[in-house]
Amino acid sequence: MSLELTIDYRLGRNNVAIKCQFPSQGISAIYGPSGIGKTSLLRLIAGLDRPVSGDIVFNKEVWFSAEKTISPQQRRVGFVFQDSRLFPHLDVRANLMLAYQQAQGPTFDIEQLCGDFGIADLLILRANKLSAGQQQRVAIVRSLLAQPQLLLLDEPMAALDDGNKQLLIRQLKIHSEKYTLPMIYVSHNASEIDQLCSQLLLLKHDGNVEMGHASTLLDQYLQHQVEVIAADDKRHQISLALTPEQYRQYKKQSHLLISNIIK
Amino acid sequence: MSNDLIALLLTLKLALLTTIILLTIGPFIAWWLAKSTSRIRPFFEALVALPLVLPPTVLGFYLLIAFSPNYLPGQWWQSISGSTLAFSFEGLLIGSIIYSLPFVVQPLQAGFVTLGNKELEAADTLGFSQWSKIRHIIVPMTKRSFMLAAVMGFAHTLGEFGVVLMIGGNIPGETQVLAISLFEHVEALEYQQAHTIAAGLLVSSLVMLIVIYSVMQRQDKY
Repeated sequence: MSLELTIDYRLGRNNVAIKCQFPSQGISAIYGPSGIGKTSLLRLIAGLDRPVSGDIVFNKEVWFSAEKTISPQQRRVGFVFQDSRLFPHLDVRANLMLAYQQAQGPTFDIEQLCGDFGIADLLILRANKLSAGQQQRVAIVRSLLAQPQLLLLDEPMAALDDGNKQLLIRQLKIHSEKYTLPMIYVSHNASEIDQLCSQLLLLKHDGNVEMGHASTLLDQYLQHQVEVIAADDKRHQISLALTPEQYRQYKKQSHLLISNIIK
Repeated sequence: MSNDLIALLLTLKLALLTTIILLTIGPFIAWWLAKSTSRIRPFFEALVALPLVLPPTVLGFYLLIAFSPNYLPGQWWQSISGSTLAFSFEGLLIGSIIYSLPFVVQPLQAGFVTLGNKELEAADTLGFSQWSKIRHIIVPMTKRSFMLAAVMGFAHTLGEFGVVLMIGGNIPGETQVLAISLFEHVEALEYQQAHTIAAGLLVSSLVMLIVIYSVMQRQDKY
């Protein structure tokens, strides 16, 4: 029981090959620097884009292969976009009801779900009148109501304040367990992932991927990250915070001129 | 009924039918033009826009030839209906549809381009059928473009002259539209009647445009 991807896909001008497997329960994360193709990967899973070649298989159901492509509708993959994408001409209730009508054998209690995600007071407002954070919460409820068999979330908390983030993290966890709904969560915020996700797919600069236990993998990865302190375009200079070990490594490998160390 | 009144009713009937037919086929053409990345798209885009720049008489001339029983479209029509297309209301209707096509397709195309893909992709992931997407998203979100297309198509057909003159001639109750009637009166130096028709067309066109633009402005503010 899992989501298996063995695909080649286009990312800008490059071809990227990826092979990975997500468990079909709990919340998994995709993490990596921006521009590495996290969103592209989600779009391929949802069926919004097609890989160049390969296979996408979910619980033995072939979603994409050389022979066939299954439409997003048939995949029943929910997608919470970075920019929420509510239907702006409708009020919140209509947004939710349209999604609810798509569910196969509705089981959700709309009132309860709206309460859980703190949007019960917003139902009569037009979608385009909401704040970014409110829109995102409505978008999550909307995608849940359509009863997906897998929910993809593309940096859903970028527009939220800390209080709302905590509420959302708690609710996502609860709902993933309660409805045994697997989720894939894209973020470049390590602490969100740490709180929310058990598994992690790490996309690296060199094109490699690593899959493993979320917090362990994050710890390992972040140790090797370098923090940029300042950048000076005119003098072509950047300042980095390096550990002594990183400094030795850079000194050895890099062709750049490395001057003083900031302690 | 006076000839002018007959011409008025005929013009309204022609404009109404043309608008209905164009609102039926126009959205499909506009959708393809808005979404296609095909290399042949510019060709069809140009074809749709052609009536905007072509003298109506040129369009009318070729339609007249196509409608004649000596050529295939005319022959085909004669074999199924028993009459000729040229100098008939049906012929006029076909001419009007081609003549007003860009006025309906272009606003719709612009609307569909502005609509973009975002909400539609969201609908895909929610499991919407094609029909649900059209009904709940595409049409409501491009409502203004549909209204503009309808008014433009209607108003433009009201003022049709050159094409009608070529393919319809001047048969009262069949092909004599208001603009032709006006021309007749002027030729006969009946300026009083000419004034009535000209002023009527001027005012009604202006009113239609003012109404549609104020509706669009009001919707801007929601």
